[in-house]
Amino acid sequence: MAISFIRTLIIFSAIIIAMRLMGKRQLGELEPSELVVAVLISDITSHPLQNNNSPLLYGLIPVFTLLCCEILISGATVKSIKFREFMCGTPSIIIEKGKLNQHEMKKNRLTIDELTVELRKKGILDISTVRHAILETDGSLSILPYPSEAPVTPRQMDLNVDDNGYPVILISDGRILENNLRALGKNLGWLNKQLNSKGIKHAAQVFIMAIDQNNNIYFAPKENRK
Amino acid sequence: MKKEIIAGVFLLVILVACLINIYFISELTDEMIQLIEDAEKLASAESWETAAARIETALKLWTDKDGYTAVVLSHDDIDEATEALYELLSKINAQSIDDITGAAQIAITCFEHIATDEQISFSSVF
Repeated sequence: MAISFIRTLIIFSAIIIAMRLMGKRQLGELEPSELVVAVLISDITSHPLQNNNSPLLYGLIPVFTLLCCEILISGATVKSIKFREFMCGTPSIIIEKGKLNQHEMKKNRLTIDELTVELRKKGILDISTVRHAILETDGSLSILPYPSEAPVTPRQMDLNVDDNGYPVILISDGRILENNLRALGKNLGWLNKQLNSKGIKHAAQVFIMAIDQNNNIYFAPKENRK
Repeated sequence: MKKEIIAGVFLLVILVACLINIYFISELTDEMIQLIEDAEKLASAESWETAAARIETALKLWTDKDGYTAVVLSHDDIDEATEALYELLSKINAQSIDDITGAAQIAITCFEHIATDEQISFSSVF
């Protein structure tokens, strides 16, 4: 039992370090090499975790080997376009000026059903309204409609739109985020005053409180459920 | 670029450590096999005490390296080899000539298996 516990801690730390060093993209959109590393790491490390007769090194060596390989591959893809094309492939144009490129669809094993699903997700029902649909190297589909079909922007309408900026959270689940408060140049006195104006005596009663650059406050008290 | 250099160096360090490990395990298993073969010959010549002393030396050598072997070898393989050595020692102490050859062969096979498992070859890779 104790051995399994210690092994789990070590393997967990190794995976966390490896994932952190690989960067945020590892958690979201993955390039092929990154996906392989992510899938392999979880599979390789499970073996020494489950089998106490297997040395821990059998799990750690592959993890660090994969990590080094991934760093070297990422470095090479940044430096060389040819290597990047080799490792990640190139985007494929699936629709060009409203016309389907069936050869590219076949090459990428993309069915018409999959394509229409992706188009519907972007609110497009008519293929002829699409100027370009590009299958990206991470497997996502970028869709660029004709300008006449694209949504109207405030600039096109000559409208002035208020920019409220990025809202900053001041209280999260009853805890005051003092760093955010200081970054806005506010203090606890100001916060208590705001809470009092909303009939709240203590920050612990607040579920979320956020403020934008124009001092608009979003406020939600905690629900009292029994 | 610094990150890539560190990764490359670290990869090289892992590779060198693996190669040193192959050499070390190969030397250790060769020494063990030599001691077992010596013990077998001595037992055939009915030199029981010297044969038993050889196996005890082999056992001491093997168990002294436990800190290292437990980190780099499968624990099942280590246990199997240790058991084979104790089995051979018990046959020598029992002065059972017929069983000694078989027990010695089993022990030798265990160490050969450990050595070949660590070697980089087509069969071990695939």
